[in-house]
Amino acid sequence: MKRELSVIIKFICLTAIFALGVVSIIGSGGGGGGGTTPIETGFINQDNIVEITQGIVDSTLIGEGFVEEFGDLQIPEGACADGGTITSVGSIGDPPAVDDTITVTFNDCQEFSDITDGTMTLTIKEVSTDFDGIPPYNLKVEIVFNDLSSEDIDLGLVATVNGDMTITISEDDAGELRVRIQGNSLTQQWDSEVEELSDFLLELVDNWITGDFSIDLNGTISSTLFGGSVTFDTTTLFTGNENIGTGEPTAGVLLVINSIDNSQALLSAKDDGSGLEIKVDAEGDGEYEFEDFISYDNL
Amino acid sequence: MKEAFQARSIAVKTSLFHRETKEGEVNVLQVLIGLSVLILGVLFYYLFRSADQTYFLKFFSDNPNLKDSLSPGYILMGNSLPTFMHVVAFTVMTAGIIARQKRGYVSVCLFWFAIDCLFEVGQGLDTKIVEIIPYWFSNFVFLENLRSYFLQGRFDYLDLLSIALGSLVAYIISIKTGNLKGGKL
Repeated sequence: MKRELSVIIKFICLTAIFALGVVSIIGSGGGGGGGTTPIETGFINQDNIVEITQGIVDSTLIGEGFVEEFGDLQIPEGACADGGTITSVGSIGDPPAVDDTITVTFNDCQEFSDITDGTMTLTIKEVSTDFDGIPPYNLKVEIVFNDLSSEDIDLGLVATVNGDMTITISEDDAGELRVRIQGNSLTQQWDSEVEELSDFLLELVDNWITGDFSIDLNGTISSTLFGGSVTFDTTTLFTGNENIGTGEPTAGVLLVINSIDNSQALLSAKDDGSGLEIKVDAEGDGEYEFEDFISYDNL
Repeated sequence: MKEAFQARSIAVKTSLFHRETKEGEVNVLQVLIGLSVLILGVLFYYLFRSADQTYFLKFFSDNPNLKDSLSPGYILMGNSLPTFMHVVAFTVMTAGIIARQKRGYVSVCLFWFAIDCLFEVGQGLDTKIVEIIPYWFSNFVFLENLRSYFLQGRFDYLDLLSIALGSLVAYIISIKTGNLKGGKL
């Protein structure tokens, strides 16, 4: 009996020691790991929602430059204006055909204060017959970036892009331009700041005759700017008219969620086209504790 | 007379501090050593860490946070010192209760080495490990800090080294004090 009692007491002591041991690790934050305090609010909160919104908007502009220049698929080759070279392997025909591919390598290519390095591969995935940039047409291009960097030597800033994306551009006779950008992973780095866009699908529909447009943004972004990862999903299409008011979206809702703690934010376009109404559920309990407004000028 | 007194004195000392631990007895000396190291660890946190960085310090009204008064060398060493103390304290305490033989000490050392390493490595996995922590943890004291521990904590090779060193020191202490002072339970 005495022996059994001893075993029970020992078991209780060991359990207590084990619990105390684990609890003391959690409670301390652990040595060099640095101390920690509990997250009272979730990852998405009133302090970082503006940075998160700006990060989403910035990262989704990645295809903008290409779309503006899409009609000109001829890549300059040879010596750059102020030093360095551009070389290429393969070619894109005129008109382009499916599976046409070109790998362009920039080697310290300097033009004014910009120096470009790295490689970029373009492959035609789909193209309408006799494509010439005049509607109706359809063009789908896959672009793979491999350490493609651009350095502004005056400002000392270096931007580097890695990853892939596919851009689909189509336009019909009624003036509707449809741009669809999707990809698995695209990393953009500005000095110490890194943003990764993954599993993304961005779609812009713009009618240059009527001025009506819509924007659909979906994907996941992780950024050092706000120190984590969020998933964004357009639950109501952003719509507006370029010729009315500010020309910015007057309707639409974007849901931003952190999958780890379920904290979330709802970004709704104001009907006067002035900006986004922000609601934050930092505790992830379905109740919005914080509301704010951010103008389009600040995005 | 003098010899008899000395013999009696030695016998008393032996009974207090040098009595061999028998099977089934708790090694009180080891438990006390472990507790002492644990208290030193808590004291270290109280004196040199700030309450906004250390969860359990929120239970203390005001701690001095003297970290800035330490030299850079001590700060570097001090970052991993609590980890070292933790593994020593809990290994020796556990050994004091259940282990007697070398094999038992090795098992206890490996157990706490694994526990401490798991938590340290978990800090390097941050979001991956946090995804499996249930939300209801946030309703309980200490457990509410688990997500923060992994998300905000920083994996450090020096911590792993201090865990290994702590396990070794704990093993040596256990061996040296293994046959001393038992107390019946």
